[in-house]
Amino acid sequence: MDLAALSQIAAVAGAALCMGLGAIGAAVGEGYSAFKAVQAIARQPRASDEVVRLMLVGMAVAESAGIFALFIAIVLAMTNPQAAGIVQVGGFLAAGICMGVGALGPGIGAGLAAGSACEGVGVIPENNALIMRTMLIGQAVSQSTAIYALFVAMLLIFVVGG
Amino acid sequence: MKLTKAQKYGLWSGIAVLLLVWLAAATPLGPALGIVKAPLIGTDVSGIGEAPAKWRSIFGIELPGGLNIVTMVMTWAIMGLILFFGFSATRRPRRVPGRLQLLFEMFVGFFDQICADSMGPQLGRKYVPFVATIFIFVFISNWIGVVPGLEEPTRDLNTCLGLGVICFFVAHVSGIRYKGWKKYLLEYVEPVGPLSPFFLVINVVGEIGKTLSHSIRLYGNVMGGAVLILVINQLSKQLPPLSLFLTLWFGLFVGLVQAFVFAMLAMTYIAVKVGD
Repeated sequence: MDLAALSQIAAVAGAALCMGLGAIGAAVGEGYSAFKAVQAIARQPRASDEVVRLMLVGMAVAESAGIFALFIAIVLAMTNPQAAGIVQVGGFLAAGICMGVGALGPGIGAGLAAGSACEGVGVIPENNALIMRTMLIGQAVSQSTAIYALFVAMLLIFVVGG
Repeated sequence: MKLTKAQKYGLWSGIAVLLLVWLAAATPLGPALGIVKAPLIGTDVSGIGEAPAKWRSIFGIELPGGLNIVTMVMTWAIMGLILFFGFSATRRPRRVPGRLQLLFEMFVGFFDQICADSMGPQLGRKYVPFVATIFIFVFISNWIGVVPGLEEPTRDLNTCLGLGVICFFVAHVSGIRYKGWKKYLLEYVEPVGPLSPFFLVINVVGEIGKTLSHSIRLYGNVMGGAVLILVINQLSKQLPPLSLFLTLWFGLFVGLVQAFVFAMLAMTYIAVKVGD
């Protein structure tokens, strides 16, 4: 098999793995925060504005890991990358796996934080600024691993072996 | 149900905007007239991930890194837009506010409340201008991509990184200012103990990672949305409802939420640095 075909196979497989795995984390995390938000509103309907705002912000942060996976998957699948050598063929596949698995943890983790924050606002709605601040800090730090995965994936596609 | 004048006005302007977006982004007319960001059918997407158009040289002088001219022009345009609306809203303030003044008062009041809740009333008020400015710039940057032919400056990693670095410096300088050098530096070796050198490394890496994730989150979301719209338009041969929905979802909804998240994170980083 020639190098062009091999690199295309690797890129397509990498894209599939990347988005498939990367969707799990964000979906689980966001589902959890929606579940907690619904519970909070059921308990405390007058806090619904605060809870919905917090839920949307928290979900948006939890989703960024999934967006990174999407970005890498699109780069792999649509740009038809050509490997310079056999090492880079492996790099395409590895980039997909790296970003896909790397998006799992941060997606779930940030979603858990968002869920607990919604729960907390449902208990004491007056505390929503403090809770949002803590949630955002925690999510931002827990998300740095997704950023590392994104960096390594970009390295693997564009730099390593090229 | 009888609509008031303002409701009718809002309804019709909303419908007009929808139609405009649809016309430009979704019909084959768009590429033919050259008003869409890129010719959508048969697009070569190999340039994805790179910054928009660059000028390699200016007046015959070679520029080492190039100049992202589209980003620059759009940034200046947005700054002009903000200045224009800001001036026209506050030039002649009235006791009974007009429409624009009311909008700006609500906007400022909202951020005033959030900052006061988060940093305390006195310190919070000092940072309202910064946080609100960051928000309004990112917000208009994200929304301007909906207008066909215009490009979001936030689609360029350089803009996002620039904003991230600004927030980094504001947070750290405020930390030094309100806590003093000693307390500020001491934070890096916390928790103090025999493992302090180890924690120093972790804390420094964490600070850099915070800034990077702050910027790349914005970039990834805006860029991901733009690329997705491009690719799906291409695959669906610009099926109008889908294209319209995606444009509005990524342009308006995700743009608003990400701008808010960006501003909130900037505020939170400052609050952590100046707080005890």
